[in-house]
Amino acid sequence: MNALMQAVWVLVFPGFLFLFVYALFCEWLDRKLYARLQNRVGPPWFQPFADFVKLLAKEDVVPKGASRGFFLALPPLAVAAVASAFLYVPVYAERAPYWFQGDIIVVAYLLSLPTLIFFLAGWYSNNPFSSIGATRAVTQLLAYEVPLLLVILGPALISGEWSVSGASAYMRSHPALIPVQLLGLAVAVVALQGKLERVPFDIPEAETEIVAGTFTEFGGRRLALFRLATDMEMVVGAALLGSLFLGGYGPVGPVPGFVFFLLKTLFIVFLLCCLRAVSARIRIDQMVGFCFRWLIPAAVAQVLILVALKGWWLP
Amino acid sequence: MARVKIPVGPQHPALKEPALFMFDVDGEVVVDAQVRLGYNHRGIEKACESRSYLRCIYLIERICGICSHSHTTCFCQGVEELLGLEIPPRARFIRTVVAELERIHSHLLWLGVAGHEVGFDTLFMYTWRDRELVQDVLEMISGNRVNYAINTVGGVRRDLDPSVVEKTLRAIDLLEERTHYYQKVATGETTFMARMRGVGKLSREKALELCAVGPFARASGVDIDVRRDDPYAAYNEIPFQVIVLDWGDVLARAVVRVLELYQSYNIVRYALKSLPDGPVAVKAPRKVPPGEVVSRYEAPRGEDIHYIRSNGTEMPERVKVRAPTLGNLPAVVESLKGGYVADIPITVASIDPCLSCTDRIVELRDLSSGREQRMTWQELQSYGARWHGR
Amino acid sequence: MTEACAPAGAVEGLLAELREGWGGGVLETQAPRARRAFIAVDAKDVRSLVQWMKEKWGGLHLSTITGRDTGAGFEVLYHFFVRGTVVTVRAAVPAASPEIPSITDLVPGAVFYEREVHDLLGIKPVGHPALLPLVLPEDWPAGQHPLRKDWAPAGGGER
Repeated sequence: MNALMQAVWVLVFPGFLFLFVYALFCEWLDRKLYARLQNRVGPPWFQPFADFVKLLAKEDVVPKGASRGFFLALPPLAVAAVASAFLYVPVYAERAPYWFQGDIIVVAYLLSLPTLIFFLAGWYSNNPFSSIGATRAVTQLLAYEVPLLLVILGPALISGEWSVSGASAYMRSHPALIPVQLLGLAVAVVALQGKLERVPFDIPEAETEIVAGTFTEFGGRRLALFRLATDMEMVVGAALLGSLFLGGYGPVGPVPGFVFFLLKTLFIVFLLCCLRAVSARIRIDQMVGFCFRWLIPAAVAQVLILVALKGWWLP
Repeated sequence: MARVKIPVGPQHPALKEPALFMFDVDGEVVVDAQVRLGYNHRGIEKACESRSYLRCIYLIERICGICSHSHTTCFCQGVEELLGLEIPPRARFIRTVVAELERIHSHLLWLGVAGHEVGFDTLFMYTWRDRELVQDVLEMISGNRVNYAINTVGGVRRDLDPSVVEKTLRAIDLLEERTHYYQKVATGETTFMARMRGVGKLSREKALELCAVGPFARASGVDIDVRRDDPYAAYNEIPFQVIVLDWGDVLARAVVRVLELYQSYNIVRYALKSLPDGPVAVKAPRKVPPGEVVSRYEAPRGEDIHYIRSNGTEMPERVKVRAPTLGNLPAVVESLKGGYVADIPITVASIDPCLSCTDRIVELRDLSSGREQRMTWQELQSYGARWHGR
Repeated sequence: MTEACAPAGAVEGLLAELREGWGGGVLETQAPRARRAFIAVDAKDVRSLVQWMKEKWGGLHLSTITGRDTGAGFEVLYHFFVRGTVVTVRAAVPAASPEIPSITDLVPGAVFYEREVHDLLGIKPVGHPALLPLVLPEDWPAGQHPLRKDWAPAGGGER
């Protein structure tokens, strides 16, 4: 692997540029679908890109009393964390470019970083709405992260492969496992919705309650980067779930595997969008209660099923 | 987290109009709340004193965009009482029809806003789409989507012809069907119900003590409705039910409003089918003999009350307007205490606050740079012309 | 309909009951039409009358409080809805000392209405728990009360 090839990998495809374009496309798809479900027309295809450019051109304000260093550093950091996670998800080849045993844990970690960054962003904004949003973001993190991690580790447990690429390939070669994992997929989709802070879990940025929560003081290019990070997180999260639960990339006959990667990711985005359209925002106490009462037991049940399966039926 | 003060307003996404709610918050729990009004003053009461009764109607129409018919009916029937004028039966029925259509439009609007306040935007989009139906009907009847301007002293300014009646009846049928659907959707959605049930509790005792009005009071078991208690227009000739529930939470307020929608559909149907014949207005003299009158009206948000005093000239001596929102504010502040921060928007919204109704009294435009700056009408006009001419 | 509205003759009965039952001095009563009653009392008797109505009639709903500049002085009108009748209690307030006793302890719903009357006419409700401006800005000049007849906005106001 020469240096040029590596640069193309990281920066263009399947790295940053592809992720950037695909993330904006998924945002559009999500918004358009949401609009159609609500009987609205919805935005044209270039709207997310236009929004991004517009935000870049806006005045850059760091509020008095807020921490300047954090304001400068946090938004790029959030984008970097999510973009790095994408390098470990197989997109157009059997194995992701930089895969290694244990990268599932790294991806899960990198996907948690944005939430912590949002917390810091809110906490250092010197604004009551932001600090409430920050507290809520972390409270929520503790509630959804446990079930998400449990179900993500399921495929690793049963395949014995601790890389996203490996677990994904194992699922592809054992399609009978896909229905067994439906419960896990459901838990993962709901938890991912929480991670992305979307309705019904948009509690940290609940517009009608705390204005924009952690993002209240952010504007211009910093907000553009935060929004980009959220869009990318949706794509990486969807790609991760698509790989681990649906087999992800994988050519079938003449159809290239990349097409299936896209289809499976878009399917997860579609599920996330429907969830958003049919529910109301719940309260933080209801959210935590829901995660501990339903999501965690379901995740544990899924893991137990897989362990039993591995112990008795699969040598 | 320690105790913090959270301002909700004067500019806040949950409020469509300026008011300031200052909350003392301990973590996620509201400990105390205060209200500050006065961001929206237009000096209407004062301005009425220097206008003829006829011009007052146009001013009062503009107290509120949503319940404009409420205020003008309240004012007109007060002036008619001062004049000793009996308005034709057909006019009374037309007033009732427009009043109920206005209530339908207001309650549908509220249902959408309630959905939006708890993040259920899908409900918001659907109800607001169908609210267009009733707005179209109002436009067909009066020529305007809001500020219908159908009232005048002595009756109404437009008649209903049979084709309008028929179209209205059809729209009402469609709306009723849609309302059933929303009822099903809203009550079937677990997350939505979780945000409404048991939230913003107000006991019957507190509601009585703090003089709450309208659907807000009726949802706490207070059996008041001006349409029945103090009938005006054609309400003593039309059968309807007053919806009272005793749960006292936001869910009850939503249910009361939805059930009132069905009542309103029936009232409109009944009124249109038994519309009396005859003229729609009688001529009213310009000068009003000295006297005073208290006029009441059940607006979509509750009791609207006007006190009008005449002095024998063509201009009123004093016009006092109390819109329902001001009556409900003390009670809603009470119901916010001890609740969650997350429940603030839906609880405040549960009285259907209309702050332009509430805030309307004072003159003066601007206090920029700490100095008073007052503008005359001419200055304001030329300022407006300059601004729009840019 | 759970109950019908109060019949036409009920007002006279209500006023008679008041004149006999209440110890204070009723200056004047009027019953212009069904469900409307006006009672004029001294400003110092307002509290005792409200107390009496609250105890004897119950379910006292305060619709609003109107303040009015009569030219010679002020007049405060309390619009109650009780027993199916709008009972308006009228009390004259001298221009020299524009004060009324606060009724917020008897009727907590009066809090905002008394603040409004204080803002716009400068009639002070004595005993009000928190007499902050409600509808006027914080930096409104003291002693300016827009609804007084002798008050006009600078520049003669709009026409």
